Amino acid sequence: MPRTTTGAALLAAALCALPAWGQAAVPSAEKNAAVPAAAPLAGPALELGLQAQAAFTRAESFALKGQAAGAVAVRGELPLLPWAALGLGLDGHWTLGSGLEGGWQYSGHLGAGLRAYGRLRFSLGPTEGGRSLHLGAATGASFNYDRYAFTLLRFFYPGWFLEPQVELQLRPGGRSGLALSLPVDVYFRKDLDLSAAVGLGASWRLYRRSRP
Amino acid sequence: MNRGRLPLLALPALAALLTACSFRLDYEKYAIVYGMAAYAGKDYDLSSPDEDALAVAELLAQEGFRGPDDLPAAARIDSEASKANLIADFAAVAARARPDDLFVLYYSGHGGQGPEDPAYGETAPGADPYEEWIFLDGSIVYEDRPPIGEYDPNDLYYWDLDLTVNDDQIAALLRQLPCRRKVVILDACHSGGLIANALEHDDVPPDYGVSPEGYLEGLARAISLYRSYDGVAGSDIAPGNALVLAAAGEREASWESGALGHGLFTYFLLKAPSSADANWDGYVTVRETHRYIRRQIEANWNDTSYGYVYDTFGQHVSGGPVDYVLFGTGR
Repeated sequence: MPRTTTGAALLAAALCALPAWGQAAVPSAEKNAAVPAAAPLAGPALELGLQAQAAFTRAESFALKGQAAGAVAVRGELPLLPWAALGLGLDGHWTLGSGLEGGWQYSGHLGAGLRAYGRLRFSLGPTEGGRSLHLGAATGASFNYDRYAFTLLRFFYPGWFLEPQVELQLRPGGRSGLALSLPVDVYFRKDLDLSAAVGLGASWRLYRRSRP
Repeated sequence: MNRGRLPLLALPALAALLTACSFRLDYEKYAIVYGMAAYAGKDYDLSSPDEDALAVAELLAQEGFRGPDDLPAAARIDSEASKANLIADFAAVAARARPDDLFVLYYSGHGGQGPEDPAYGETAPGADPYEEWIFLDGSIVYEDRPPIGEYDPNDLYYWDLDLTVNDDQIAALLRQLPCRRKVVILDACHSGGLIANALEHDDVPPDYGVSPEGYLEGLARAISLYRSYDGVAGSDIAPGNALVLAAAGEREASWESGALGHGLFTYFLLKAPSSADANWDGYVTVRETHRYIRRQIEANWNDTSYGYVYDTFGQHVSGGPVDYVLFGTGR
C-alpha cells in the first residue's frame, strides 16, 4: 500500500520538523542552559493586537468632531537586520459615528485593511527579572475598504501610520512579548479636509528565535 | 464624608450624563412637499402620491418643519404641484433659510429616465450619460384623438420637457439654498439616478433584480473611483449638495400599494420616526431612515410574492462622510 506508506512517512517528517520552529537543535537536557536567561526577542514574528483610538474628522463646511475607533489586527514580520524588519498585516477596524451636535454627524464606518510597514527595534537590555526590553517604532502605509454604517455603500482610502512601541519579554528566555504602542494614523480621504486618529495599542508577539 | 452628601454629589453627575445624551437642535427646518397623482389623460394616473404628500407634510409639520410661506409644512398636490410653483417655493425658502438650517424636499409621483439632453447643458466628460426627471403638473401631455371604430388607439401621450424637472435642475435649485444640510426624498421610478456618489460603490445594484457585484469587484471599483475622483461635482445631486433618499434604483420602478394607501417607500418613511432609530440615541438620521425602509421593503415586498409578480426594487442613499438628523424621537 504505497500511498499509505508515503503519507505516513511525510507526516512523520513534518512532526519531526515542528520542534525546530523557534528553538535551536540542542538536546533537551541542555536546552535551558543553551538559551541565555535574557536572550532578546528576535527573528520572524507573528503579532496579534488590539487598538483603541480617538479619531478626528473635518469636512468642508463642517466643524471638527471626534469619533471613537478601534481595530483588531494580525501581522507578520521578517527581519532584514537585527534592528530592522519588514511587516505585513491585516486588520478589522471600526469608527463610531460622532456626536449629533448641530443636527449632523460624521458617519460611522467599518471595514478591513492591509498594512505594509517597516519596523526599527532596539534592545534596552534585560530588566531586573531577566526579561528583555525593547523600544521601537513601525511606520508604513494602510489600504482600507470600509462600509458606511446603516448603508451598503463601500469606499476605499489609503493612509499612513506611525506606531512607537515598547515591548517586554513575557518571561526570561521566552519567545513571546507584550507590546504597548501609541499608534498615530493619517488617512488620505478625498472627501474630508482632515481624517486622523491617535490612541493606544496592545499586542502579543511570538518570535521564531534565530539560531545563536 | 457625610452619607447625606453623596446623593447630592451624584445629581450633578447624573445631570451631566443625561445632558450629554441629548442635543439642542437650535435651527429652523424647512420643507417643500409635492405629490402628483392626477396626470393628463387616463393612463398615467397614480393612486397614492397625493395621499403620500399630504401624510408626509403632516409628519414634517409635527417635526417642526415649516413651508416656504413660513407656516407649518403643507403639501402641494396635482394642479398645485407645478414647475413654476417649485421654483417659486425654492426662492421663498432661499430668502428665509440660514446656513445652519435643515431643508427637505419630498416628491411622490412619476419619475423617468433618458439620455442626457444637450438642451439642458453640456454633459461633462465621464459624467452620468443618463438624466432623470420628475413629472410635475402639465409635464405629461395628452391628446385625445378620435377613435377608429371600436378601438381608441390613437390617443397620444408625450412629455413637455419644459414642464418636467430634471436632475441637474433640481441640483441647481438646491445649490441656491444657503443651508448646508439638505435632504431630497423621492418616491418615484428611477429616483436612484439622481444620486451622484463619486467615491462610493453601492452594493445595491441599479436594478435590484441583477446580481450584485462581489466583494473584490466592489473593491476594485472603489479603488478606481478613488483614483479618478477630482472633487468636481458632475451631474446629478452630489452629497456635498444634498443627501438623497431614493425609493428605487436608477434602472427600475418604484411601487405603490392600494391596500396600504401609499407608495411602499413612503409607507415605511412615515413609520421611520418611531421605528428607525437603530442605535437608540433618540434621533433618526437620513441613513437610519434608509436602512429601515430598505429592510422593510426587502421583507414585505422583495422577498414575497409581490416582488415575484410585480418586480423587486432596491432603495438607495447618498454617500459622503456626513449624515443629518432627520427626525427627533423626543426621548
